[in-house]
Amino acid sequence: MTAVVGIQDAGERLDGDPILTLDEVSKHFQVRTSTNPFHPASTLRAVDGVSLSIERGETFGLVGESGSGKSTLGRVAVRLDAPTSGTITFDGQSIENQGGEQLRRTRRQMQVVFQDPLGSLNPRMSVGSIIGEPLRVFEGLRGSTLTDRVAELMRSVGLDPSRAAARPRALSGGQRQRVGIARAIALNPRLILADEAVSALDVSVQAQITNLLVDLRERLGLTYLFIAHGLPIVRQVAQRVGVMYLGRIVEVADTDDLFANPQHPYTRALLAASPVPDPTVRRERIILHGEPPTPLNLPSGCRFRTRCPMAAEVCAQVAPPVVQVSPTHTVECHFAETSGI
Amino acid sequence: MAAATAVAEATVLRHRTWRSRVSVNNVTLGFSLAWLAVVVAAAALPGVLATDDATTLDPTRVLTAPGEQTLLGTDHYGRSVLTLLVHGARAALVIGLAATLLGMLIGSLVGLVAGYLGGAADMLLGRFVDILMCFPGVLLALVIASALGASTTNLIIAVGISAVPGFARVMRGQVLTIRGRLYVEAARSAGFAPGRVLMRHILPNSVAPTVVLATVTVGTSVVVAASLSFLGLGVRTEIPDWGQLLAMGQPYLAGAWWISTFPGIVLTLTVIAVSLAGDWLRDRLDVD
Amino acid sequence: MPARDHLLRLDGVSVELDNGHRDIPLVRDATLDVRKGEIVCLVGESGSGKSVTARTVMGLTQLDRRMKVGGTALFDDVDLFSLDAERMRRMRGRDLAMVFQEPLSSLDPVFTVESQLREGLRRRERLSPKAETARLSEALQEVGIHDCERVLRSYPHALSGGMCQRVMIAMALLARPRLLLADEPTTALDVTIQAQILELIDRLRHEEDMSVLLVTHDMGVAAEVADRVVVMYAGRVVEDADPQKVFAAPAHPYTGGLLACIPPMVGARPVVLPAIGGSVPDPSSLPGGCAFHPRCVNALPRCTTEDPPLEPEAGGTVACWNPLTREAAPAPELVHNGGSA
Repeated sequence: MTAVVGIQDAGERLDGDPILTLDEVSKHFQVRTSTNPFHPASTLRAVDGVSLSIERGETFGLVGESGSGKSTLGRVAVRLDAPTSGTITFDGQSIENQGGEQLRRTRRQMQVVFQDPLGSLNPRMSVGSIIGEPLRVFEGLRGSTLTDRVAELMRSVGLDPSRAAARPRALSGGQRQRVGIARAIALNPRLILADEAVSALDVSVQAQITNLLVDLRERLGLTYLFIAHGLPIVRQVAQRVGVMYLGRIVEVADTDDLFANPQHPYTRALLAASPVPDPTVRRERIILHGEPPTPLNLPSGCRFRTRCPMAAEVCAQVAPPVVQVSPTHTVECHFAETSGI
Repeated sequence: MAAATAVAEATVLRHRTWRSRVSVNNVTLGFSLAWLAVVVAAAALPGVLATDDATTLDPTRVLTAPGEQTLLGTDHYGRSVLTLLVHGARAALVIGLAATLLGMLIGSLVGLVAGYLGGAADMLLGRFVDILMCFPGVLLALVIASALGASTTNLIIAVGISAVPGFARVMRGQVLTIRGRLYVEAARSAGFAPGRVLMRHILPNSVAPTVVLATVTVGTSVVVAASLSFLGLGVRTEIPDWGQLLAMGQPYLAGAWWISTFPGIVLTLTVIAVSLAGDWLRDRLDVD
Repeated sequence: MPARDHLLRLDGVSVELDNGHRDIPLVRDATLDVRKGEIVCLVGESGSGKSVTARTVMGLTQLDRRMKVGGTALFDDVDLFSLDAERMRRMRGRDLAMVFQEPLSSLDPVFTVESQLREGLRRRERLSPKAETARLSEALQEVGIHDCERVLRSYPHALSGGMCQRVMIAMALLARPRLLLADEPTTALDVTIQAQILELIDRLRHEEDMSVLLVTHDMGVAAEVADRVVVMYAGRVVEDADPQKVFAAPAHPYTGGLLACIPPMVGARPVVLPAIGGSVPDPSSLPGGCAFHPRCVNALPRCTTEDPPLEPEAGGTVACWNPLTREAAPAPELVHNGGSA
């Protein structure tokens, strides 16, 4: 396990050592849109040809609105779901076709912290047995070795080990999420998928859990795929950010670069719409009109064109190319270079 | 707006009715549990509750009315109806419990497998359960009992199988719900084997409704068993069970109403008590 | 302060839940005003009593007989709490309207949007069917729905969350209410849709000269639209002031803490977010004295025993013995609070 120093400056990025690589990954679902049994099922393109590489030790933030496919992408990336097409390489190993015992072994290296802390904890198990379960099953720990290790894990996530006998229901929201995190790090995984891991928490508790996640990443050398819809929190924890819209990552850049210099009109709208607790900032609001189209029936050409303030004729005809704005900044837009800063 | 207000009001109303149901139950629950205690005591220690012998025929007190010589009257052989009821309790309880257990085991297993595997297994098992469900429970038990012949074991099998569809449905529905819960997903994502996910995470969270159904099924099984006995498909022993007692009294109904009436009342009370206890259990186990 | 008329004046409002054993205080001595044409944001975390307060004004809390409501709520000099059920019901259809957080579950799934809107309209006025239809289309246009015919014919499940929320707002506005109570109206929505809805509420308040009591947990939302911000914690109003003051120089340590723990969208990223320690107390076991004292960095010995009253402080009102706007107390007097959950 590599120890990784605290990264809060863009300059300290680790390069060229990807832990997880997705290449042209798609996840399509067949959906019945009609009650007529002879009506053919439609294809819902939740994730549509996404390529992405996550470096060892970084936090990759994935933002997007509901229906953008960010959660589906996360689930496919850690193989909770199988991709429809494309390849996924984890730690040098191709995992997109893994199944059975082999897949379960891979999964131990990639743990998940879920959005709903209460829902993700078995209500009939104590906190201690929830955290200890992976250790019992996979490392065969028993008795005092197990309780010591559980106590250590609880301390490392800021929980009082004397609460090991408590049921999840007896804990506060923040404490429950700490249990979820302790369970996730119990087996020393390499990658953690944090799927809206702080979104359901109270504002004052969000900050605590965010700090804990950052602290654990540095202490344990973890890599995060951090999915969220709240931009401020992503800016706080991620080194790189990908913006998803209707199944595609439309822009990827280093965090500071993305927030200071957004290239895609959707990213800009997202940034402009994100409320800031400062009433003096009456910024130029880019109000997007309408709602995202359904992924069942994607627009031709660029998928954002139906809501895009800059849309032109070419956008309806040709899918936008991937434009390399800088070595670390790519964007899918016809006007990427000309759209100004 | 109106709709939203209505939703809020409905939520409030639901809470209110729930509350009132509990306060009524507290009173009736006491009676129910007390009655069940009496029945269980009768089954366990019949000699303590009924002092005279159930097998001795006494021609001197044939068909005496309640209160004359015995509390609940005597039958056409001169046996005390009370004594017969007390001694019949064991047969009723044994058949009720054993049949429920059998139905629960088979039904829950079917439901668990169908709900967990889904797909073709679910379809196949589902159709099997549907076929069983086409027949009313009593009819199904009747057919099985007459095919197998009269014996205690066969009676248990017949009544037990008639309870299978109920358990299978409840368990399948519950497993389907729990299978989609986030903590099951969490267990899967942790890399646990399917068996462990099923036994440790899905099953313990799925049993509560089955437990409730089981209490109610004990009651109905007692009735079904009694019905079969009434129709002559029960076990012929020296001491009649409740169903046989009901049947025995039937020819004398005009003159000696007590032979059939008291078993009927006992049967009814037992079933009501069991289902009230089941209601209470449902609230305690917090089953939706 | 401009001498605008008060529309709603809550004075010493308390709500207690009788759980069968004892009374649990959900709202304690809440005092606040809403003036005509003003948007007041009621901000707080879970369990702060902000939603209960709004629902109590609407008379919804009182439908549950386990709830005990005290104090007065003067609406145009009429005490809402003294009205009988029938008069309150008429107020709800006419002067007061409410929009809820979950737009989809607030609409009845078995009726079309049209029939639900019609029902709402008929409670207010009798029109010919043709005039009714015209009013409905107009109402939908007002909230930015342009394909009225399709939406009217739709069942709620066929509409997106943002669309349902627009329908809910249209329904609330059909009655031309003088006070709109909005309980987390944008929490379930995406930020780009949230921006649209906030814009809509702000516009309608000007056009209709309507007052709005907007309940939110998001300081950013409050900063966007509020004319005044009221912060609640553990059932009490702890601070009430203009947004310029609240966001620039919060007086209550809780308000300050809430603002500090939101990650910034511009400038340097803090290595550690300044989080408020501990968690929101459960209403059934509130700490003695000031309910915030166990989490407060400014706590004095006095705070552990006496609950501070809501008093004028630096241009607003605050309930605190040692507000941030005052000279810092000498260090030895402070009660030291740890920062773990």
